[in-house]
Amino acid sequence: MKPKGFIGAIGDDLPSLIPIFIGLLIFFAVFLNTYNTYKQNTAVYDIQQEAISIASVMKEEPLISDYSQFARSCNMVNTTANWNAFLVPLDINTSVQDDLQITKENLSENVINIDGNIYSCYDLEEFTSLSGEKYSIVYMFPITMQKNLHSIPARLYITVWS
Amino acid sequence: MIDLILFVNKRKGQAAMMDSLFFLTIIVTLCVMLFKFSATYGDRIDLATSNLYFKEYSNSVLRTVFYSEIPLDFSLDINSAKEIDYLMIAVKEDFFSDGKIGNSDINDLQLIPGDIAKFNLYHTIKATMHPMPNYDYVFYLHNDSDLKFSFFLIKITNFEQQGAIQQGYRVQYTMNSEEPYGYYLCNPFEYADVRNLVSQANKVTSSSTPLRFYVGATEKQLTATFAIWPATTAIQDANLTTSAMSCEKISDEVV
Repeated sequence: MKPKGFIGAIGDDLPSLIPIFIGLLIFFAVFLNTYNTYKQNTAVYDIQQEAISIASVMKEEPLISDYSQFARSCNMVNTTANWNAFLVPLDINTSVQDDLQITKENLSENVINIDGNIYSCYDLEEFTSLSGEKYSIVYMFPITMQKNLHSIPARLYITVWS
Repeated sequence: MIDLILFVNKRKGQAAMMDSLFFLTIIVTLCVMLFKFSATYGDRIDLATSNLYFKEYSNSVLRTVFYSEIPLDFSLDINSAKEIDYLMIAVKEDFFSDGKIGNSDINDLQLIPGDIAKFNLYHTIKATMHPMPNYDYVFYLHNDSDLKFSFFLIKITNFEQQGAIQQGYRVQYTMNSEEPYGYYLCNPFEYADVRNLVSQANKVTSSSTPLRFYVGATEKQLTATFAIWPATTAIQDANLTTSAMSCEKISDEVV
């Protein structure tokens, strides 16, 4: 004979199952959120660190004397990340700098080109046509380069994306 | 004994309910910890990477200053100049005769032949930092032999207060639209005054390098220092025009 009020092994514990389900639901939601944040941030930090290490290689020599030296620095970079580095003029007259607004559209025209040697580690066409990348970072550093027998300041851009 | 079993059986549901509530409490605690972790994850890495970038940047500024050539005139155009020289050579030559950089006072800059090296030093530093308008900086040459400054340049971003100060409300500042930036040459009384000034900014990154200068045959040890920080309301014109810093704004004709 069934005891009074008894509605089965699970049925008897039915009210206690509700907090358990709510608890599991909250836990997995928070866990998933934390995991996604961790994954996203790790990707961004990896890119930032890659950019810094690429910059250290590219800036190893304080003066870029010619294109072959620049190309040698590009080849010395050892990374699995997608990246590019290029040089843009940095005029010591800041009003000239104000007039020169570098955008993705006019980048090809503004990258330093001496005797047909474009100071870019990789093809600029390919770089400027990139879109919709998940993460990307651009770092800029002043550097000195030799142009027309003068040592002049230039901007070194390092871009890394994934 | 039978009574005890019946008693436990009667309260079985309550015990399970209590257990599940304990379970829920543990889960909520775990979730709070996970949330805290996800909210702060990478803050230290982010800060370290950012510091590293600005350290590299300030190093690059110093190296650019040391390796760049300048026109020996006020044109700022190296291609049209009749004479050029390395910036640091020009500064050292200038220093050689009288132990100071430029003919004008340390906190002054004029368009006179004696100030060509000083003029180009100012413009080279300004140009290398021009792509980062949201950052303020200081560049100085400190004479370690007689503990005096030989050159001191500081750039600040001018902010103005919006509205009156009201109790319980945060004061709003906006950048001065007419004159967003100020460039000053200073004559600090001593090194401690500079440290007190710069320490008012946060996230300061600096780079220094020792240099050997000569006044006639006497060797002088100078240190070139470049420090950078995000633009702040803590360092404004009033902090620079004190007797300790003796700063003078660089006049518009040489800016």
